[in-house]
Amino acid sequence: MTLKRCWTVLLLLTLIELSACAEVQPWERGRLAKPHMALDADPLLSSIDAHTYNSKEAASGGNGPAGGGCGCN
Amino acid sequence: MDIKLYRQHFLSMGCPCEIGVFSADAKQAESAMAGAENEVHRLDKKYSHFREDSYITRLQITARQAGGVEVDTETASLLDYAATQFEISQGLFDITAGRLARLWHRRESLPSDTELSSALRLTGWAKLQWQSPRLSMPKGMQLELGGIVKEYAADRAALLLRRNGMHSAYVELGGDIHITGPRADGKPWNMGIRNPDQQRHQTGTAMAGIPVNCGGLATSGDYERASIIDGKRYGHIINPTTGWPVNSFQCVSVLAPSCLLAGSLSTLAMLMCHEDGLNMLDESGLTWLARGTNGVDHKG
Amino acid sequence: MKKLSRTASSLLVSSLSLPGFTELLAAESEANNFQYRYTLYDEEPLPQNVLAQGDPDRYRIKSHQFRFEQDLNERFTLTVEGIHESMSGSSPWYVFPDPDRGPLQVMSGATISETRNEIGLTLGTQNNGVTHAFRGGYSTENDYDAVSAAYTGEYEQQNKHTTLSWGVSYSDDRLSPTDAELFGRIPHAERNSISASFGLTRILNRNALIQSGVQITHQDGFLSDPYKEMWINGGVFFDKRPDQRTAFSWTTRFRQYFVGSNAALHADYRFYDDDWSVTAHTLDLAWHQPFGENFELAPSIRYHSQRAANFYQPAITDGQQPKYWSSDYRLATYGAMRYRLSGTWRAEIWSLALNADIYNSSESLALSGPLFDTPALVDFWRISLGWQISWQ
Repeated sequence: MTLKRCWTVLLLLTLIELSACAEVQPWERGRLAKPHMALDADPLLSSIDAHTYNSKEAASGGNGPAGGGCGCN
Repeated sequence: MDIKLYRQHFLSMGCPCEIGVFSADAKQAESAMAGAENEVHRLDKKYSHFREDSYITRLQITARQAGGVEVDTETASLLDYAATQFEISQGLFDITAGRLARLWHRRESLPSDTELSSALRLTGWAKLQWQSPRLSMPKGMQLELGGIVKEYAADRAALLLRRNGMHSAYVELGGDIHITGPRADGKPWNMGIRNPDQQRHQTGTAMAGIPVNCGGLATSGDYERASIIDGKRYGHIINPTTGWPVNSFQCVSVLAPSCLLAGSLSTLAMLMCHEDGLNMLDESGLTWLARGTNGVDHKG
Repeated sequence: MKKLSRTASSLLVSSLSLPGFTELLAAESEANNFQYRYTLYDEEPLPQNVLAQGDPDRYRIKSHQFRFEQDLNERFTLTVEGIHESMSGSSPWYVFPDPDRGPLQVMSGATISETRNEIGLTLGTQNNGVTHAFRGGYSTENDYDAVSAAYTGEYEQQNKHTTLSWGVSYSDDRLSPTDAELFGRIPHAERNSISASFGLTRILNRNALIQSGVQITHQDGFLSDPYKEMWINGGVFFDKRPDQRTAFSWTTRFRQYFVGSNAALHADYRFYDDDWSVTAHTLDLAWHQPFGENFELAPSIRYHSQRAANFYQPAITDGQQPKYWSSDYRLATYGAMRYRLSGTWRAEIWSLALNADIYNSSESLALSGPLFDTPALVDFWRISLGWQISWQ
């Protein structure tokens, strides 16, 4: 079941990849480079958030390959 | 030993030059500055368009022969850089615009249509063959390295200062600056950008001051080497596709990791129309300052 | 490296072939930085009306994080990061099904302060336009050790405004529960985990971008919690979970810039599913509003909803004899809201960030799933202060 889900999402990702999107000129990328537009502006904050939620909730993932686990109670 | 600021002035690249270093060792400072100054003279001698015996002048002659000529590694890298400039600017930045530059140099009347079209015919990066390391140029085409060499020289001189232990120093070649690191007290250098209306020999308030910790600061402007024809000002930066001087900005200054990059972007902005130039600078991710022909200042 | 436009970075890359330029630019880049963050995490005490016995004062954690990133030369970057945490407080043990008052939580006695230390080393490099990073990590506390290794890669397809990213990681964990003999806990156990991920980042237009990726994780070994127990038909038994778990997650992040207010909207959604029947949806929305050149305020909310694991129950009283069981509230059906306010001050070489969070969880907030009346669902607040300095 997990594998089937994976293929569905990979298909969706491929569609995003092929989708037509507005042509962005090389010099137009600057706004996307502003610090508050970053995907992860604060790695230490994201890391401790992931650590907190992974310890207190049943779900995990989406934070990239993590370090090892912990005996968090 | 006390840390002092040592300075050296000289003339090269057709402009007044200055090197300053903070150092606790006077001998080391002087030897480092001498090495940096020699590097500027070396590049001036090699790439000066005004010398008949310079490497670049001789190169342009030998490049006409069938099969072209092989250039040295330094020139090959500069030509590769020029190729990138041409591509990224969609043809606005073109080092083959030498004929156009000469045409508009200190004129008293407008060039005729014939003069313009013959200069345009001998302009265009696509018209030469550059396949590293061989360069082949059509007869009559002239290179204009004015937008590259001075900035490159500032970076090279700064590199030599660094290699000689000067991490708190600057090189200034007529307004193109490279700073190797913050001042001895850890504070940034306060670099002033000259008012476009001011003549070089005049002193007065700067248009703006930019604090710089390290990197290159370059300014492209139309306030020097301009021709005044019928009361109208024609600058020395020529659009290689139309053949006419540009008219969007009085001056553009950019702060970048190298003086070469700063100079490329400031000149590129000058070559673009006002709106496109501002957008390009805005999106660059760098610090910049521009004054439009209407006198309005923009910064980012 | 500074975030440059394509024009600027193409010229920069082209200039690297000039004699001495890689040396000059590497020496003067400001990619090198040091970051430190202090976080205080505090759980609300268990309400008296659902306390069966034990200490109601729950966890309090103080964390010190640091991260040091330095360019070794123009090709390699080294990152060293670590965390030192000290934890104290009691945790839920098992649920007692009181015939009159309903499910009541039995808490452990207050634990002595324990500490956890973790260190990670990453070597990053670029080759032919592809970025690679290799990371090794080690985490240790008095009852748990973990060693991990990871590889991630990234490739930017310039003309298509797309970046591909991928990664694999492995972790090997060893447990040695404290007071094992005294309480009859398992004295030693092992588990390991392997994970693979793949993602795509796409620039949609000059004001927006989107990232979407999947991750699959497989865990093997002792996956139960050695400290937790469950009331089964009059007796108390140690937590018993399956010895394998396969999980799938799909995360999408969207960033939209608003020219008028110079603000950015962040919207992140994660879908999670595993073979323990846990399904979860998590949505995180944030608004980043700059004020002037140096200050930014960012309020945000995070909504999380999960469906219980198929072997979760607070307690068993009806004579069932299941194969697996757990009363751990973290595997229950519930929803949680996290409210956050962040303030960031940025100057040329340093920045300071302050974040304050409030987190509330409750069964009534869940989107769907079997409800059990779980008494130990936790609420907490968190305050965090981060500081960063960069140099050439």
